[in-house]
Amino acid sequence: MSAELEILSASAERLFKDHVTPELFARTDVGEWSDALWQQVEAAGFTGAEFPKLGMLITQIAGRFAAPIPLPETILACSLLEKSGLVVPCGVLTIALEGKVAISDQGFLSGAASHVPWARRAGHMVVVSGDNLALVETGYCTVLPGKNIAGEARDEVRFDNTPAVAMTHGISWAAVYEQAALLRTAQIAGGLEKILAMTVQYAGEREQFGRPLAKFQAIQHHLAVLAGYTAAACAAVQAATDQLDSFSIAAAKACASEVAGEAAAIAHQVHGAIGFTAEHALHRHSKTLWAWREEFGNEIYWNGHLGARVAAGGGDALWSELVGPRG
Amino acid sequence: MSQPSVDNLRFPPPHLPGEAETLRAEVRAFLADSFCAEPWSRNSDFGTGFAPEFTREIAAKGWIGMTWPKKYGGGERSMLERYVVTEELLAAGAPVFAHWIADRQSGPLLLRFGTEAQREALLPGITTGEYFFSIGMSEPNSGSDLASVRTRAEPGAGGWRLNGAKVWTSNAHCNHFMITLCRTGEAGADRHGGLSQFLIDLKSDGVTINPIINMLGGHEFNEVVFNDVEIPADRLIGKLGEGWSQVSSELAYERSGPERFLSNFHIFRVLTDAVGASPDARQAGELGRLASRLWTLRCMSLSVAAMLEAGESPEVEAAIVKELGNRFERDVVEIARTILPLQPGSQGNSSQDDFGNMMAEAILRLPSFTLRGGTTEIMRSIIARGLGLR
Repeated sequence: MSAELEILSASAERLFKDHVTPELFARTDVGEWSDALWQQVEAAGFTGAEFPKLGMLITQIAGRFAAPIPLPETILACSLLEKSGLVVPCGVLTIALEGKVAISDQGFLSGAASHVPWARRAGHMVVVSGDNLALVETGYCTVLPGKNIAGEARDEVRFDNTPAVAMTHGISWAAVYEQAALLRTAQIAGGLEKILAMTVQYAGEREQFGRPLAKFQAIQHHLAVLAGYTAAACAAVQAATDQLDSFSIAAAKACASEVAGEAAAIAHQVHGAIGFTAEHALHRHSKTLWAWREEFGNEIYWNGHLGARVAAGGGDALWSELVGPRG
Repeated sequence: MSQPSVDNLRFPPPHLPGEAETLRAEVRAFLADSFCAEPWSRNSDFGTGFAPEFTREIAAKGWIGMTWPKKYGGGERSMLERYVVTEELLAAGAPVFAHWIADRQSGPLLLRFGTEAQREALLPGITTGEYFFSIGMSEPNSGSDLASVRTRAEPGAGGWRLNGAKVWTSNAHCNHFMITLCRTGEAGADRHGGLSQFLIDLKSDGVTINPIINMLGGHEFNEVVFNDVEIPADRLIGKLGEGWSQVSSELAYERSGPERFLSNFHIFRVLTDAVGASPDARQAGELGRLASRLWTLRCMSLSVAAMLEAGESPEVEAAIVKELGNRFERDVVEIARTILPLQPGSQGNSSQDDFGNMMAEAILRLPSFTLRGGTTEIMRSIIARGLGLR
């Protein structure tokens, strides 16, 4: 990592550590918006972090803290608007990629978008459907609140001939969906780093049968497997950010989504009953892993894409698909 | 206990230099021609194809010892270029076993610890595909617990006299040399002292090579018994009593390479064709699952090659690659049998390369993958140590 990235990484780590606290979660759990955190993140310039490089780094760090804000969504929305030459509005942004939404050539939206992250808090949202991208003011839409398994806002947004603030054509929905998946992959990698660190620390502190859990070979092997999963997800997200093509993004999201559940199970097993309590922080991170592994395509979705591609190419093309040059 | 460390979990993606991709194209073209001229049974397990003629063809291309200094016959190319050659050879299922051990670890060990005379005497012969090496670590009573080896070298006339036995020595009956780990002094409190490495000429008097037939009915393993074998003094490799740290330095080379996850790539390739271009949802999902995991493993393994190139000792990272890689190798077979039902074995006049035959062989070889080069349990212990748990 370059010196510049290391400084950025350290300052992001500090910011989230200082502001994503049990007190903050106590408030967000009852539906409050983490405005102070958002202000800090905005002031630090993280919302406009260049995607993918800086945006992925910041997103992975936010993932380590399960930061309850639509930072990756805002980073992606900014990037999409900038690349389309559109004006980027201030404040909280989000992206709507799923559901059934029609965007007319005149710039009117109808239908409903599902699982829109923090739509209720976003001033504007970027909606992508087919090859159209529309910037919409959320105030003109109907927002029906929902949440994912981690309690993060995932709202349904209804459009009724809603006018876009701005729009552009010639966008690839699939490419945008991949970018969203890549950001979730970074969050998963961050979440895995966190539960590994928590679990290693707990195993060193908790004593049973007169010695720390970490001294039991069965526990050591659990942790080694957890470390392998974490390393794999982190390596995959780094490589996909580097290669930035359909194959590697699909592989990285599939890999991270597949190991997330296995890793969470190990972390809970090693923590024992305390990890199952509301008081202990582990569930913050296992829940986000269980949520993020499904979002923007789980491993079945992306592996299905990869498998269809590999099968179409046949056995002789398989190796080139994996290492390049890709056909 | 030391602080938990997750620094060993970083696998930064290296950039393959342009020459590496040019080289990849060259290797592919060579392999295609070679396969047409004299087809080999395509098996990606590095331990299956022992073909000295093929090895000498590879040598003539400059692809053995390719990172070594030119004065020893090497090519002074990078670890990443070597990586490209080795992964292409394995993916194509080429018969590489004859030169594999010497190229992967015996040569690098000699370069690092050997005397100038040893390098001059041995390395050129490896690069021309004439000298093949065996690993002399395991013993009848020392498997995972390598520090307990009992083969002993004692001062003798003009050097050393060796007594003891090594076991699971692949191709000792075909190879020329073994680098053996043996006891030359007291173990000390950490049990790692008093071990040394020697170069043994496998044709020496007092060396008896007894075949051990594996569960496939094949002869790859041997027991190698040393009975008063006279070793000239100049066959000591590195420093007396430093054998343990020297052996440890080989491990990152031994454990992180593409041979730790590509052993069943030929099954994956043939499975892809057998499923066909219109897979059902489950078949597509499982083929994709293999592809995504293999892609990830390869990214990690390539990253370790870059660490080796940078002179680092990524022992923990290598253990992670091997632990995950060996599990993947097993899953290739387990997934194949669930998405394409068949009876593993031969049917009627089926050829050796038929899927049923390939599957049968792969299933039977699987138990060895998580043992050779260090067991899964040892890998997990190394990773745990890297986490500060031990």
